[in-house]
Amino acid sequence: MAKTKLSCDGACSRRDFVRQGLFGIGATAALPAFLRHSATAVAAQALGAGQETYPNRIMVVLELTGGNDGLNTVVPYSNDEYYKARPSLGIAARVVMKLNDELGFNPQLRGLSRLYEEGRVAIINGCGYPNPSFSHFTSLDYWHSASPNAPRQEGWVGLAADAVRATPQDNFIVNVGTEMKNAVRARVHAPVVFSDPETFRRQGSDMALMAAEELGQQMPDASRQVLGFIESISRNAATGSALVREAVSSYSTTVDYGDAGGQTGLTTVAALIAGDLPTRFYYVNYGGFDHHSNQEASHARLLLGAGDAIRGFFEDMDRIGRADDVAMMVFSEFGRRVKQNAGAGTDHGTAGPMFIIGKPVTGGLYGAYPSLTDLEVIPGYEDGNLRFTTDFRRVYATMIAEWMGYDDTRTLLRGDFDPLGVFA
Amino acid sequence: MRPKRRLAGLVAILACTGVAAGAGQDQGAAGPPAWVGDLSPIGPADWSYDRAAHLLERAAFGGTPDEIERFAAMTPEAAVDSLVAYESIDNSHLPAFAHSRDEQGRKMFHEILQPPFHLEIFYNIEYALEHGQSLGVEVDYSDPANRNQEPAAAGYFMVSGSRLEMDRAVQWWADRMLNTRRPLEEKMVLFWHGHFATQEQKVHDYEKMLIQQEMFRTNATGSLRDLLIGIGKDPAMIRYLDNVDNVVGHANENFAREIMELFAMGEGRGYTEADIRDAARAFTGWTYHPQNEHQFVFRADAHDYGQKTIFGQTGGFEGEDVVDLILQQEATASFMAPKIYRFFVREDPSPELQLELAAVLRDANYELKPLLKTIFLSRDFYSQASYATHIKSPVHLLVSTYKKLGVTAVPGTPNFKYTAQALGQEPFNPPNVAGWTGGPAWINPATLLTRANFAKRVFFPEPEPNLNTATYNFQYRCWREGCVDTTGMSPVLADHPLLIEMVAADQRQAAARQARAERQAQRAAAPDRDEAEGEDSADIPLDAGLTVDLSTDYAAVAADPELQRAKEGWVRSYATPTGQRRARRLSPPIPLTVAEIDLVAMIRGAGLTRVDEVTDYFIHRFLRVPLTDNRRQILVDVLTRGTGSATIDYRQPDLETALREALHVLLGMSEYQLA
Repeated sequence: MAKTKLSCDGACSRRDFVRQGLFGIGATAALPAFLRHSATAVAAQALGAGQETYPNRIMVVLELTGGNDGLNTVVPYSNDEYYKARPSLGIAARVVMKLNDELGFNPQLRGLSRLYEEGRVAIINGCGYPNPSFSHFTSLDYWHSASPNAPRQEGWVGLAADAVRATPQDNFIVNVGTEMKNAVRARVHAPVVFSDPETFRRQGSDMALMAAEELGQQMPDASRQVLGFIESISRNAATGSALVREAVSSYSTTVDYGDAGGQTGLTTVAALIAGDLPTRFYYVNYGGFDHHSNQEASHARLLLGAGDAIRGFFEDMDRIGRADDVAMMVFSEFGRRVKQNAGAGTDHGTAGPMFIIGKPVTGGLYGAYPSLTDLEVIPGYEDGNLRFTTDFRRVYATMIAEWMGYDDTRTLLRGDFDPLGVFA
Repeated sequence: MRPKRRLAGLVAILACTGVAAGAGQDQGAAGPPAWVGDLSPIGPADWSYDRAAHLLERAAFGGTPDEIERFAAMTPEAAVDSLVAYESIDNSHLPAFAHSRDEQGRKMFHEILQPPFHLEIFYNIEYALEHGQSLGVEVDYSDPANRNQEPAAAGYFMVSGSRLEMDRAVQWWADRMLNTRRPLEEKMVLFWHGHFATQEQKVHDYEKMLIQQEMFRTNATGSLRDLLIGIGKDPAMIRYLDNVDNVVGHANENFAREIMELFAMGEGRGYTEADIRDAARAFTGWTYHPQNEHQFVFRADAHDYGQKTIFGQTGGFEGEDVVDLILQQEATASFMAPKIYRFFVREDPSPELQLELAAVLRDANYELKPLLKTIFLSRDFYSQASYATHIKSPVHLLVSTYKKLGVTAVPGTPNFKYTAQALGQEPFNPPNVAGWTGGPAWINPATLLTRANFAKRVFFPEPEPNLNTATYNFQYRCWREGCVDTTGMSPVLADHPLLIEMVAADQRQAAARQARAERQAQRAAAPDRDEAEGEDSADIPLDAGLTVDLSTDYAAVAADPELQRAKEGWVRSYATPTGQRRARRLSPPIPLTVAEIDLVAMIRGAGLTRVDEVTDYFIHRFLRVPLTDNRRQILVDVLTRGTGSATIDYRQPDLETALREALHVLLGMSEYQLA
């Protein structure tokens, strides 16, 4: 392209961009009244903005979309019931990577296992919620909104971001993906959503792009609040998309992320962290876990990819010196049925393990492993499902309170959910 | 109207609104501050071109100057009436949705397969093993390697077929919104779709979705009671919120909860968990016919005839009674009327205004027309707080852009569904049961860039970025030629201007594939540590050089003993593409037509000769918000650079390009996002 669209072409660094381009614009001024007066914003203004407990900390959420088979992820290898329910799909005791006398990782989870050995992985077993839904869409909605059986429009990551910082901050939430996940819907912050940094840009002729840049320097009619709001997001988009592309194109790493570094979005997240974006909440997903038939090989491939990508990501955080600042939470919308089905696959189930990963984590096993004999019989699903032992919102509370330093999870999650002491 | 008079009228309007001077005044267009919150009607003296344009922007999908003039020439009451009381307007020029059909004329997939159509396609495999058939497709016991593959393929056929038809239905609906003579009807269909949000992704049956949409259309501005009962009996909703599982003894509360929380009363407003439980019992047995899922049936054997207590009243209530009880609640009108107001007017009605709106709805016994008429005639609707302050929804943005450009057929590229999806409003797939949040939630950095890029792609079409063109071309040939001949070009595409670009894109993709294959070959030559740990036979189909896609020759695969041994992954390598291929063969792809735009003719028709005149004409035709002088000047400069002069030379060969470039900039501005 003949002409660069950035106002400080070459002369200023990425960090300057962050300061001038993003912090300099003052997006708050233009916020419409109906947003500014939202309950969260008012509450936070009373407290005084900018008083963040841990201003350097970053939270990454990895969603394993499709319903990951928890039983074949953290395997109860000493339990005969497991092998009875999974005659061909059961992971043999001799190949699991043993965590203790009862449980072991699926052998494909080498990457995660290595992090576990380093004490960087908290495994929270048996995560779920009451009256489980067996629909991908419904259950994901419950997880995204942290509100089982009573969906609401904002997502828990979005609300946590609003709580941590109640005045709009450009690029505070980044969702790497083709469409915005409900989890990142916020009231205050406008999440940045993109999959390919190259297409996250304004298109057009040089003349059109130059005109757009000139328009960015001429404020529109100031008497319309909503116009000011759109214009501020527009400038955020211009600087943000440049920043993202700049960060991604100047990023290179020697770390091996395995086969799924790109698909999980974790290489992009690492690039943005390395590029000093002001982002504090990252959301990525990795799909394909809906294994109703011939599960073994495909599930193995996905676990291998996810585990290696996660390990690569944290190795990369070590490399760039941010390992103390970054923690990741991994979840899936449900586990699978205990019994394998006739097609050597598994159907939609209930509880499953979650993971919290990072250098500051106190590694180990949390939560009770669900019983394989005392099953919950739900009408229409008579062959029995795992009873959850830890409400998933306790894991959310752990991330929000213990990691991001916002203590009022009772209001945010609409209930009492004790953090687990993972960062103790 | 003769062209000359139209031109004179337009020039007069340009002059008297002051837009031609380029200044930022629109104070004549928006009513005074005292009008905010005032529901009393405006009078004929308050009526103007700009206010007629505002009405069309909200109650319709915008208008061309001709249409706006037609409305401006009426009284405000007559203008609103012509939008609200639309039943007498003939709409028969609109085609019905053309279902794809197989050789025997059967629709996909209900007429081709047999129920039960389970939500989870894999259920069909298990069902087949138990019953010897599934979806009417028999298990082939003679072939042990392949015994349940045909039913599995039928399952994939069902799901892919529904999705492909739904894509075509999006295109059909977009055309309908653009060309209807009853625009408020379609706008209300859009409202009800977001209100009674239902996702095809879960329903997996495009026809149920279309039946639901027709129910919305029939009752679009009718009575809320009919809509609430209609949605309770709607096959798509019965599946979406699991009322199909709501039977006596095992009440499923999903629908009962949402009819209170989301569809009528609002979250936490005047109902209890106990009310939900008993309301769910009243809706037991509301389901669809097991042999015809598009037909509601009341199953008496599944209905709970016991006493129920709802909102403090006790009786042997039925579903209809629950709706009537809900309509008696204070919360219902005060939830619904402001929600409709927010959709059409603005986000922040005062508590007093909300109460007034609720009273209008309740006094009309939940008939919707009186409320709509009150809103569209009110001083509040034309006040400063309301005028040009509404963030366009993605669907409105797309349809109204074509409308204002004078385009009469929604183009195939940019693809309407993918664009709306990227902007956050995919028709037939709202994000969840709560529907689209709307308002400022439409705007984030990515959607704002996509809005600007949409305009670019309307004026300067390019191969669909979301649609792999190799797949598309194959899909097209697959449909035209029965998935057999992959050598000849489809006659429809052969002379299409886009094809040249697409072939180039295909070649780039082919090169990328080649490079990938080479990398894979290199990796195979130097096996790494991973392979020793037991990548098993499951990978054989992929590693043995078999590319599984629509063109895969399954007979050859089956003849290869090594591949046959690889039973794992067989469903994925056979049933998925086979089912998809069969569906694609029936469902014609959306032709990649481009928007027919002639901006040169547009400005010549308006008799414009100077660049600043053209700029002001565009501003007036496309924006409801005035531009500041500085921002207007940037547009003038863009067009001047494009034309090379301050006067328009109609003989200039690239004049159309220059005009398109300027309009692309205009439609990418923040001002254009407001209606």
